[in-house]
Amino acid sequence: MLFVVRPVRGLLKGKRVLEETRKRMLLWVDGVGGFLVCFSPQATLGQALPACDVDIPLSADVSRRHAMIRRHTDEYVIEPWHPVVLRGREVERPEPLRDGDRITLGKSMQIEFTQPHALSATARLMFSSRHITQPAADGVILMGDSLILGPQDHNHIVCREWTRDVILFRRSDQLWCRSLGDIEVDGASFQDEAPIGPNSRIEGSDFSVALETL
Amino acid sequence: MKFAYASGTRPLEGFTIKRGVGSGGFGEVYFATTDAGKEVALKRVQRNSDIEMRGAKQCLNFKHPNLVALFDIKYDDDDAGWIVMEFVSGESLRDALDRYPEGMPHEEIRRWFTAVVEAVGYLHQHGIVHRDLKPGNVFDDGGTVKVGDYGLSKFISGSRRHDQTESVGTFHYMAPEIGKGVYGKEVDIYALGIILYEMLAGRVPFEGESSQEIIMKHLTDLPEVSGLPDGYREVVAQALSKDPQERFTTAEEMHLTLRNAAGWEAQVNVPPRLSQTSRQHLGTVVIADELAAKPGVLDATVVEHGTVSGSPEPIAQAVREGGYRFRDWWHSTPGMVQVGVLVGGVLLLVLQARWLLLTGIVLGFIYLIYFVIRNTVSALTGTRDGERNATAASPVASQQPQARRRHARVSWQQVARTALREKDSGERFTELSGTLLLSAIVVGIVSLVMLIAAGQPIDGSIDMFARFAWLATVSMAGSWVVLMSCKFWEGEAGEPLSRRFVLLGVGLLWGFAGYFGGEFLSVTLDPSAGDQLSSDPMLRHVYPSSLFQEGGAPTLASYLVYFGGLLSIMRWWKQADPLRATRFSLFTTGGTAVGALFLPLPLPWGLMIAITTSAAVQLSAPWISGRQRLELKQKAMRV
Repeated sequence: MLFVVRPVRGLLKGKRVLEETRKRMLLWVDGVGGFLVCFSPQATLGQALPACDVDIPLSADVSRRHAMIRRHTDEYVIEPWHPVVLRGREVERPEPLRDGDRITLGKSMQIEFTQPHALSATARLMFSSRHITQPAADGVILMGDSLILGPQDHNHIVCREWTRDVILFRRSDQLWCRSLGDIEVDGASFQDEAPIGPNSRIEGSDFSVALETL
Repeated sequence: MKFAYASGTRPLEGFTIKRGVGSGGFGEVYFATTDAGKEVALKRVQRNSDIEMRGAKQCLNFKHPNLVALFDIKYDDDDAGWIVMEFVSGESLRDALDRYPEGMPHEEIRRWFTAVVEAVGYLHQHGIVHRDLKPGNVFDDGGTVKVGDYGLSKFISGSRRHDQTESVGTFHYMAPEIGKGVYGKEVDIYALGIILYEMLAGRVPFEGESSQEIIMKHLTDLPEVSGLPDGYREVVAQALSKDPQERFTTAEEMHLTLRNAAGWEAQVNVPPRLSQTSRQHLGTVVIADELAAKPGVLDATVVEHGTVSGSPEPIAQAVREGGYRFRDWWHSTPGMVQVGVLVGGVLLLVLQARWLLLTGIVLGFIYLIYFVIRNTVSALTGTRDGERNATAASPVASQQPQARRRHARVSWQQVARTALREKDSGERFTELSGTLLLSAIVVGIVSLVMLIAAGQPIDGSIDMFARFAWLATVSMAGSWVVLMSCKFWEGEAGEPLSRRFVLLGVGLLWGFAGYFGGEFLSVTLDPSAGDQLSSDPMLRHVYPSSLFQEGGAPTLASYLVYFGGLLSIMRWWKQADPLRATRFSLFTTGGTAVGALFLPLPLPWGLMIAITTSAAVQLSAPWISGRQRLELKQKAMRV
C-alpha cells in the first residue's frame, strides 16, 4: 500500500513546488550574478524580517510592508503604503512607473526601475543604494511572459560574454527555456527548447544558469 | 562561462554554492552561503595545493580596508583546497576602465589608485608580493576599493606563461623580470605603473596580438609616456623602468611622489590603523623621496643591496646585453631558421676564418688597451663610482636600516646547491662513473661527425682510423678531466680564478698527452699537408714562431698553449654545472669553438677538439630537469 502512495504523494508535492515557483525564485547566472525573479503580477516590498511574507524583502530602513508594484498588461503601477518618493515627488496614491524611474522607499532605500526590452513586459529593479535583498540578489526581475538573458544592453539580464540569448518563458503554466542550438537541462539534451523544473540547471556551450526555488 | 560546481552543490561541509563568479589561473571562484546565511566567496585552488595554500595561510589574518578579507581555508573530500573569503559584489576596476576608453577622470583615478597603492603597501610591509596585480583583481565594494587574489604564491613564470587558455590580458601587467623567475615586490610597483598608465590613457602601454609579443615589448620597448599629463609622466616612467632597482623602492614612495607631482591633496595620509613600524616605514619613504632628487644617491641603495658592485664596464655590458637579446631571439625562432643561421654561421667561419680572426684579434687588442686605460684612470681617481655612492649614502642607511633591507628570498638554485653539497662521496663517485661512460659514447659519435664535417677523407684507411682515434681520445681525455674536476666543484657556485688555475694545470697535462698521443698514432697536424680546411698562417704571425715547425705543424709548446689555454680561458665548470639553464647550449659550444680559433692548433683540429669536448661535457654532465626544477622551486618557497 505504502509503495503505491509514496510516488503519488511525491508527484503531488512536485506539482505544488512547481506552482510555488511561479511566485518567486532565485536565478543564479554563472559569471554574471544572482537575481530574484517574481512571477506573480504583484510584488510587495518591505523590510527583511525573520517572519516576513513580502515578495521582495529588503535589508533597509523601510516598513514591514512598505509598497507594492503591480503589473497591468504591460504597465507597472507602484502602490505606496508608506513614504515613497518617485521622480523627486512623494506619492500617496498608485502611480504608473516609467522606464528609468528612481524610487525612494523610506529615507534612503533607492531603486531603479527599468523595462529594458521593447518586446517584453518584464521589468527589472536594481538597487542604487547599498541595500540588498534577503536572500542576497544583484537585482529583482518582475517577470511578465518572458525573461531574456544575453549579451546586449536591452536584455533583462546582461551577460556580456555570452554569444547567444537565452529566453525563459511561460507556456501553459510551465516554465520553458529557449536558446538556438543545443541546451542541456539537468543533464538531458534538448534542441532549441526545453521545459524546466523548479531547481533546474540549464547549460549551453558557453553559459550555465541555475534556478532555486524559495 | 562554465564552472565545475553547479548551483546548490555542497563541496564543503557547511557551504552551499550559489553560482560561479569567475576563474583565473589558480582556479574557480564561487559565490556561496554558509548554513547560517553568511555570504562568502569560495576560491577553489586547483594546482600545487600545498604551496598555494601556504601563501594564503600567511595572509589569513591580514586586516586592511582595501584588501578583500580572507576568512578561512578548507579542504574538500578530494583534498582540494578552498579559500573562504569576503564576497565583494561591486564592479571591478576592469569594468570601470572599460567605461572610460579615453582615460578616467582624475578624481576617479585618485580614488582607485590611492586604495590600491595602500593595499599593496600593506602587503609589502607584511612581506607579501602580490604578483598578479591587474584591474580584474581590484573591486569597488559599495564605494570601498578592495584588492583581491593576493597571497597565492603561483608560479607565473613557468606554467602560466604556457597556459593557452589564459587570456592575453594577464601579460599586460607582468614586469619584464618575471620571465627570469627571480623577482620581488618591484613587480607590483611595475604593475601599479601599468595600471596608472591605463587609467590615464585608457589603454595599456604594451599591447600585442600574442602573449609573446606583449612579453617582448615588456622586455625591450619603452612606454610612450609623452601623452600623459604633467606630474604623472615621470611617476609612470619610473615605475615602468626595465631595471627593478630603478623603480620606486616601496609603494608608499610611489604614492607620495605621485601625490606631490600630480597635485593630489597633500594630506598626510597616515591613518590611525598603521602600527609603529609602519609609521617608521613611511618616514623612511620621505627621506628616500628627497634623496631621489639627487642623482647617484639612490644608486647607493643598489650597491648596498649587494646586487651590483661598482659600475659595470659599459662595452662588456653592451656586448652581454646584445648576447642576451640574441639568445632571446634564438629561443623564440623556429627550428628551420635556427638551422639556416647555424649553417650560414659555420660556412662563414670556415670560408672567412682568416678575416674573422684578424678582425677579432684587432678588436680584442683595442678593447684590451681601453680596459687597461679605464681601470688605471679609475684607480688613479681613487674610488669606483659605486663605492663613492655607498659612502655618501651610509649615514642615511644607518638611520633606517629596516627599510633598506630587502626581504630575503631563498632561490631554488640555493636549495639545489645545498643538496649537491650534501651528496656523499660514494654517491658522487657512482654518478661520475656513469657520466664518464656517457661522455665516451658522445665523444665517439661527435668525433665522427666532426671528421665528416671537416671534410677529412672517410675511406677506411689506417690513416683515417688513426685520426679518428686521436681526435676521440684527446676529446674524451679533455671531457673526462673537465667532468672530474667539476664534480668536486658542483656544491659551490665557484671562485673563478682558482678554478681556472687548476684547469690550466690539468690542461697542460692534457697537452702532453695529446702531443705524445699524436706522435704515437702518427697523426700530423701539418697544415701544409694539403687539407683545404686546415691552415691559418695568421696565427703563426701572432704567436711566437717557436710554436710551429717549418711547414706550420705545431710543436709540443703549441699543444701546451692550446690545451692549457682552452681549459683555462673557458669557464668549463659552467658547462658541467647541474644547474645550467639548458642541458645543451649551442651558444656555449659555439663560444668554446670561437675561443679555440684563437689558440695555436691548426684548423680544423683545434676547432674539432673544442667542439667535441664541449658537446661531450654538456651532454653527459648531470642536469636538473624542468620537473626537478619545479620541485626545487616549491621547496625553496617552503624554506
